[in-house]
Amino acid sequence: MNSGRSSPPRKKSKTVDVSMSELEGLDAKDLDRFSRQNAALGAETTAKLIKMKVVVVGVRGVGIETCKNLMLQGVGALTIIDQNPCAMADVGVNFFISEVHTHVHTHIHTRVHTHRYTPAHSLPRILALTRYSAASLSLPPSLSPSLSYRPTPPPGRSAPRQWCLG
Amino acid sequence: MCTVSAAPALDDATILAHRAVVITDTSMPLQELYRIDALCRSNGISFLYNFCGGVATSIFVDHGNTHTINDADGEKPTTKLIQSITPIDGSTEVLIRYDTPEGTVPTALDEGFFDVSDVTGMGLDDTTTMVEVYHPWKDPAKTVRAKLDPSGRPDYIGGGLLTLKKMPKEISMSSLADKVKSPGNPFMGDMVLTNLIDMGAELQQHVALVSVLTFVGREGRLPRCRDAADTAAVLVIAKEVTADGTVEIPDFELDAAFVEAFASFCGVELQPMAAFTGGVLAQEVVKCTGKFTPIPGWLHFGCKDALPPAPKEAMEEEGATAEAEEPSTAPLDYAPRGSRYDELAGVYGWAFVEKLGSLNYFMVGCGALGCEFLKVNDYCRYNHSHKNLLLLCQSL
Repeated sequence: MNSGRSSPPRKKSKTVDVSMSELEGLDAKDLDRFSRQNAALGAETTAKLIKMKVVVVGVRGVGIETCKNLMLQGVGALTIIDQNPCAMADVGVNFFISEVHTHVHTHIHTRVHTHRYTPAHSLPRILALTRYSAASLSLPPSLSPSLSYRPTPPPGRSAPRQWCLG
Repeated sequence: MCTVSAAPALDDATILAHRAVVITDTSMPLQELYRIDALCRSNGISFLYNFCGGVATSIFVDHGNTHTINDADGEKPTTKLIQSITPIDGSTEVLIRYDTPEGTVPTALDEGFFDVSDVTGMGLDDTTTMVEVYHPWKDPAKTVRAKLDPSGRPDYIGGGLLTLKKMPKEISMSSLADKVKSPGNPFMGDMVLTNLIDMGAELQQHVALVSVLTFVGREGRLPRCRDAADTAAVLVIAKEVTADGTVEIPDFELDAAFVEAFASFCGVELQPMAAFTGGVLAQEVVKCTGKFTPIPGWLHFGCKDALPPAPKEAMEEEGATAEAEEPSTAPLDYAPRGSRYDELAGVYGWAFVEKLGSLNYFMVGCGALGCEFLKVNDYCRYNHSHKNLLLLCQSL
């Protein structure tokens, strides 16, 4: 029994050494963030994952869930593609799309319908999932108005507290 | 550091810039999927496809012709205690007698590569040597033969550990076009076995999925929810694809009711199913790194029993009293109302969705699992009366 009790701490320190050497470029915060994942998948898997680039096509229910999971697992780069305009049905499955996105975006002065929101507009919120990473946001010109996306409160109500964004 | 971006369209350049392509767009026709898969295969990019519709979800994984698995199961390597190492007369091998350490499963070693360490004697002191071992059936139990030349080595004195060495394994995966034609068999290991109650339900779902994708290719849209004409069209296609060799499954008998049920809800995405599928898909992306064994082609998962009974069956169950009012209310019950619960109600009906929304819940804990539950709870509960309640309890 003695050997059984003494072995876990020794193994633990060994794992930390491995992750330190293999996850070069990650600071202590990141190591802490991935500590559970490293225990389950191994540090070498996380090391490969943070260099991986993934493209997700179709951002409805499954798409946004996949994006969320990949972001939380620390994938290196994520590109999302979905050009279908947001519909009410999308609000029911994509948790980063709100009713606001189902409206046609109208330019304030010219009153011209500029564009419709697409599920790709859940991007800012996908970014907000990992506050540790200094994530960069790049949007093609046709989508750039999404940068000005702000959840507008419904008339007569105060703005909801954005507790979910941390 | 993570870069997140949105691309305007799925062009070849975008695909080539990535290591894995995950397609969750259900309205993409088969021909386009074949093209993307072929492009991915020729460039060493992992291709993952998902069709999630109604209460069924199908995942296809293709890591290309050469995919290396470094660790097939993620389990801790087996360790055995060496009891003795004796030379075998007239051979360049040794016989290793081993015992199982206390508290571990007493499995018998069969073959593979093992690290020999902590041995005193044999000239192996303070070294770790990798040996290939095997166990001929004539040999006594708890022994393995190791390819380790004993000549010129001193005698074995004591101690020693045998630790399994996980060797990289190279596998070859089939393309989407091949796997659509011959999807494999859940009992042969080339398709994931997901249903032990309805034997062969995975194969029925495969045919139903191919039929729906063929329908998408012809009509340019998914079958509508609970649309008799679209469902009938998909069933006709299902008979076509099984007859003309588009899908070749030996001894296959088409279950028309299954295909109809699949087709009538395949255009609808349900949040709980999406959450499950998203978890599996993200895990499959992780497997690109060589950790764990990937899905060998198709995973077809469906929970047909979670569907509400068809109106006819419901009437039979409820008896003659419900017969008079049921037909008039049924179509209205499923009609969209411009709400985010439209798709849920399309499958289960507004009466059910409203009932779900009027329940009171008390939930304790909101961690990694709890927050998923909280989300699904919100996405399935129609708050029509503002009477429903979710009490959340979490210590900070």
